[in-house]
Amino acid sequence: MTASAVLYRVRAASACDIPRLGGQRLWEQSPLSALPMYRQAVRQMPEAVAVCALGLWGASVRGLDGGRVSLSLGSRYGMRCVGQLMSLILRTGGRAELDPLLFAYFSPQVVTAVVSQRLSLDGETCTLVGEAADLHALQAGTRLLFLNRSDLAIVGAWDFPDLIRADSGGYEAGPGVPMPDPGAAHIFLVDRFPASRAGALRDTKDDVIGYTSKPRWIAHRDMTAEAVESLVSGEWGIPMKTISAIYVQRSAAAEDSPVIRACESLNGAVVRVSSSPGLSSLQVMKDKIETASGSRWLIIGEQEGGGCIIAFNAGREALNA
Amino acid sequence: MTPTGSPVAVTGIGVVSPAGTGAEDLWCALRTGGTRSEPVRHFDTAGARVQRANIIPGEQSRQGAADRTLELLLRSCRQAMSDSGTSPDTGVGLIVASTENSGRVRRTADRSDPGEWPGLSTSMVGGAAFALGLDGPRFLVSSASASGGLAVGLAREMINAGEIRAALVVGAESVVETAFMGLDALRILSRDGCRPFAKGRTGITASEAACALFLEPVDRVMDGRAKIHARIVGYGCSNHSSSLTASDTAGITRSISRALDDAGLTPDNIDFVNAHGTGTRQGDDAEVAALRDVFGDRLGQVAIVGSKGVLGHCQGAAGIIEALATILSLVHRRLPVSHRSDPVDTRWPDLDVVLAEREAPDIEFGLSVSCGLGGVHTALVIGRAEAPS
Repeated sequence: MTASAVLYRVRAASACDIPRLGGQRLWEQSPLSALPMYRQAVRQMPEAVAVCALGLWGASVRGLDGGRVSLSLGSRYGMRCVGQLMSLILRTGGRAELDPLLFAYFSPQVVTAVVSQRLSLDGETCTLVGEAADLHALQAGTRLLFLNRSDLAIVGAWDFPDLIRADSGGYEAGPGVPMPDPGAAHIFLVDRFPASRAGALRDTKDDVIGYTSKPRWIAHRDMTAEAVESLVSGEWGIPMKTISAIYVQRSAAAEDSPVIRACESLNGAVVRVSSSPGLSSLQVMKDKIETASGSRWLIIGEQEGGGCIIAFNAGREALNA
Repeated sequence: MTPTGSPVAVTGIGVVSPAGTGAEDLWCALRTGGTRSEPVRHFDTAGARVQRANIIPGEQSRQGAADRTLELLLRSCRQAMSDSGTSPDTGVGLIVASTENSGRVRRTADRSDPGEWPGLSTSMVGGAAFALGLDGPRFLVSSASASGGLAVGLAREMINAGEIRAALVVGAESVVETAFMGLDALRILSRDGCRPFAKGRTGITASEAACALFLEPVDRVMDGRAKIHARIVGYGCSNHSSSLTASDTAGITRSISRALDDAGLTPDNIDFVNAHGTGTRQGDDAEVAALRDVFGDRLGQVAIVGSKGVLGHCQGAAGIIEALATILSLVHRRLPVSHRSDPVDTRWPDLDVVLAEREAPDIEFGLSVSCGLGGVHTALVIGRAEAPS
């Protein structure tokens, strides 16, 4: 690693399986026949994400000023399900059947709000929606650390799937591509390495499970093997030959991928492709950071319209090696 | 005080709103109040308490079209890019603010059908980038009514972090069935229209708009290549609330204090506030309490303008169009009327709500406040094009 490289410690990671709340798989029920269950699930979902975050918060943080903790959350679909539920209620029962509080869950901001409330956070925040929103959220959190606008970044992603698509013949992320594990969240605590403020977090390294770079945007047209190598080796100070795998989160709409072509021409790295445009990047980050020892990898999220966002992640041993 | 962030220049503006097309129409309406609500015709409002909204003129035939919001977004973006003299280039980020979550679910015999569910959250951001020839980072901010303020703040941070060389920030929102009926169900739509800070205020008027700002680092436009309308000198954000539906005084106060710290200014430097001013009883109460916390005894010397009396509540676009209203005040050195605010709530005799247009040749800094459901609050400190000596 070069002295100029700036990396961020990933303190912890967790996940929750939202659709199993209440012991039933919600998505196997038709919204028309199970409206009360759907309404309940909509209310439970932000709480489930908050519980997920609260577990990490309690375990890792002591006495930090909530105003210096940022919260950046991404979601592929946001609360589209609530809009659809409202539309369905209006079609079937009219305005009189519309529960006033359902609208409080209309914006994906509700998840950010509930997490903030439960953790008593008061720092900068953002709620992002769309393809690669998970990596954009990671970027937003690390950006605030980089600019010294926060001491700790909580970043994460959640998804609560498209209800109507589930009801109308199967939930798909794209043509022929099933959406895995609908309804889940991944939350990370991230701070600077080395820490920008002594004592901001507990001074133990046991719960540091890995490291990440600040994600960087590269346009499709500039997405060449040379550009990736320049970023990884030059800017991040990571020898490209030490990257063991590249995970590409494909855009559902993209037919051809210059990202994959570029990655395949990089020496040595194994390219693995995910067709799910949801929160799979952070899912990869969670799974691999926890299981990989001594390995480094890249995560690339494609977006429709030409573009991608890229991050480096490594297990703790990789950095120490 | 030392600023914690660097200012960015607003070099391009574009807007499509119930006031018309372009910044001149907007400024004219802000001065004269030349908008009015009209009956919503593009979806069934049967059973709703309120059936009127502020609609963009000449748009009735396009209402309800699946791609209408994208079209509005593109119109405002093209104005802003043209105004800035910018051609599509690398390194320009596209940050879209919207809360739009709408479509029309069809129902067949015993199943629901996706029908059309365009939303802005998925393909529209990519579609907009493609149509505008932008290949920089792009994403959608969806933080309720604070989305616009957040998008401007994020764009400024991205420029300050060196991630992009410029940003096109755009808020876009149409009056759509789900949001309109949801607001009606929450009973915050007003039958009488929005009256910010007025004694008889009863809620908001649903509205729609697309508004775009082109942002660049100040030092890159000092060569005279581009004119500067204004500078975004400070940004503050807070997510603090004990309620999912109510504004929070402490959260608003904190966002304003952070924006002032970020700008390296004190409350004494602020000449006027373009308030969020929804015209709801609780929302305006919380905002006035926050302004009192920030400005203290000086509150009576700070002019307050509420734009929603004329524009209505443009939801995800509100933060950007109200930032533009703040910019136009600085450009024209006039404070427009806070329409329909007269008489002001008698509990606030010291509040200087602008009830008649004022010349303001000496104004230097304005504050634009946005608040969203769920307790997210933003504040932007906006300065005149030329930095004070």
